[in-house]
Amino acid sequence: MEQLVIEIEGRKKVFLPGDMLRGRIRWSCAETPKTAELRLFWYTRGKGTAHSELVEGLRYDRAGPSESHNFDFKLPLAPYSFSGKLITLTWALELDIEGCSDPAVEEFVVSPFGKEVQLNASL
Amino acid sequence: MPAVRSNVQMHKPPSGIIFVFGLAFTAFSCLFFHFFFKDAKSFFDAKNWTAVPAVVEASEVKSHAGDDSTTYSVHITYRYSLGGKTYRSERYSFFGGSSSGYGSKRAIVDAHPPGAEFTCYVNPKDPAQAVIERGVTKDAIIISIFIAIFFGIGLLMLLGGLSALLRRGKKGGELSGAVPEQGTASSRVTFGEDGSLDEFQISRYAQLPSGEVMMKAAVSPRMKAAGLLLIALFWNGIVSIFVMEAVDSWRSGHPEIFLTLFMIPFVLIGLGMLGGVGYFYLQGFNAVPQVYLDRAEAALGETLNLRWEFSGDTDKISEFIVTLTGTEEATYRRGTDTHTDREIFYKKELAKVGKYGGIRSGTARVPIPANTMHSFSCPNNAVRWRIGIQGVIENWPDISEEFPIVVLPKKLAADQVAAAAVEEEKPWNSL
Repeated sequence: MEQLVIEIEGRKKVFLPGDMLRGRIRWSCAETPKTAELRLFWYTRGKGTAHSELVEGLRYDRAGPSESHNFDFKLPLAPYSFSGKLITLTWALELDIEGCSDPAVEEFVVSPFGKEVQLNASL
Repeated sequence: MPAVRSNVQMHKPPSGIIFVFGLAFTAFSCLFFHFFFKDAKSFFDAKNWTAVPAVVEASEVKSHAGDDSTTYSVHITYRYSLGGKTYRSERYSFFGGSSSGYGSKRAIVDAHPPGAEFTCYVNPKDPAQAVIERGVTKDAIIISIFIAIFFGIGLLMLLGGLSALLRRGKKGGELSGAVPEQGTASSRVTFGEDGSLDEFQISRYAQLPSGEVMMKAAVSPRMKAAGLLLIALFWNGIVSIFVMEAVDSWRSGHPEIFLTLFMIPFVLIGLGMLGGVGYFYLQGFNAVPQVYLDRAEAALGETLNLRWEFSGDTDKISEFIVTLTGTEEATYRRGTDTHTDREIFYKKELAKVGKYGGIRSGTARVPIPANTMHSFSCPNNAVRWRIGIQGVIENWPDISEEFPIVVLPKKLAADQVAAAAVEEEKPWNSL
């Protein structure tokens, strides 16, 4: 059975801006993948047209059908994860193995307040 | 989670589509121009054509039924003699095609009944070429305006699309395509240490020698008046063409009732725009507030010091209010229109001064809340912070101006910075 897994160190879900994001990825595919990439990105969704921004990427060349790797990313200072009436900004990691199953996505929060910023809470 | 993947990879600004549409608009405009004005160069030559007596043989208004409406054209067959030879022509003007508006065509045909004598203009170099109206016709003006509008829109789309494509090319922001090919076993690609900081909205200010910054309003009343005037002229210019057609139809006894009713809301919008121009024009005579801050930017949790000074007469201002607002803005497309929704998530009154409280100048503290969102901007979405100035004037347009400011992310404490440095050095095998 094909499997793509992203494990964040300590199963952490909330990070401070500037923190190190560490973890491990593993995949098990039926065939040799064409490409294997891990991406750190954020995206907006909500009423406005969605937008995504790639922050950093790791590419694994000559990847075999089953592998596991440690990873680390230094998170930037901004933008924070936030949610308002119109927009939500979410941080995520995406493990994309071409020629295997659907990408694995692990969402997390980047905020200095220990949780996602709620915009309407400040009014 | 395929939904997230599609968010990431599919929602890109349609700059390529805009570019293609722009190309199509400009190309079709040129094509239409060629079709309608292929003989227009004769308009200049015809100034020297010979005036010759002519007789109308037949005349009628021809109607051309389309999918949505019927258009009309003038058809007059006439004969004239030059150099002992008799010629026939059907050309009324140098501008071809048909258009809406029956009345004006009917009037031309009525003025040229069969057997009527009139003067036509003949090309002395080629006597077979003749024309009745050698000047610019009303239809030519209307068609020119339409073609110019479509050409202008096409050109804007073309340039806008091209500019967006170039920006995207520079940024390399496509998520799946941004990781360059490298030959190492596990190559790392970094896209900027400061994340989206470069996307922050830029506040408009001038740095003063005193160290203060003088903020510039987002849009001044005079700019609003000028901008709205341009839009109103454009809008009313287009609308007036159809209004003239409607008036023409009533005067000729063939009233176009549907066109008349259809035009009413467009006329009202045009009048509303002109009213808005008047409002902003009057607002331009108000006293002008200058807003100064001790620095241009502040991080979450910090405080800015604000000072204001009015130039002009402040006696009519009955109340003066300074506010700080945080707004989220989402831009989206509905059909062919682009909309921007705004939602205020933070609003605080920083100062409120009555008529006799010293409106002309004053100071206020601008505490930026600590536990909220910094300024943020990406295509289609933004979080913006503004200082709002409002002066209430009875029986006159109020003073209402906004000054964008930049709110930076919270500054990390020294111990947080040290902890992050230690964390960065930790080995990978800590899992």
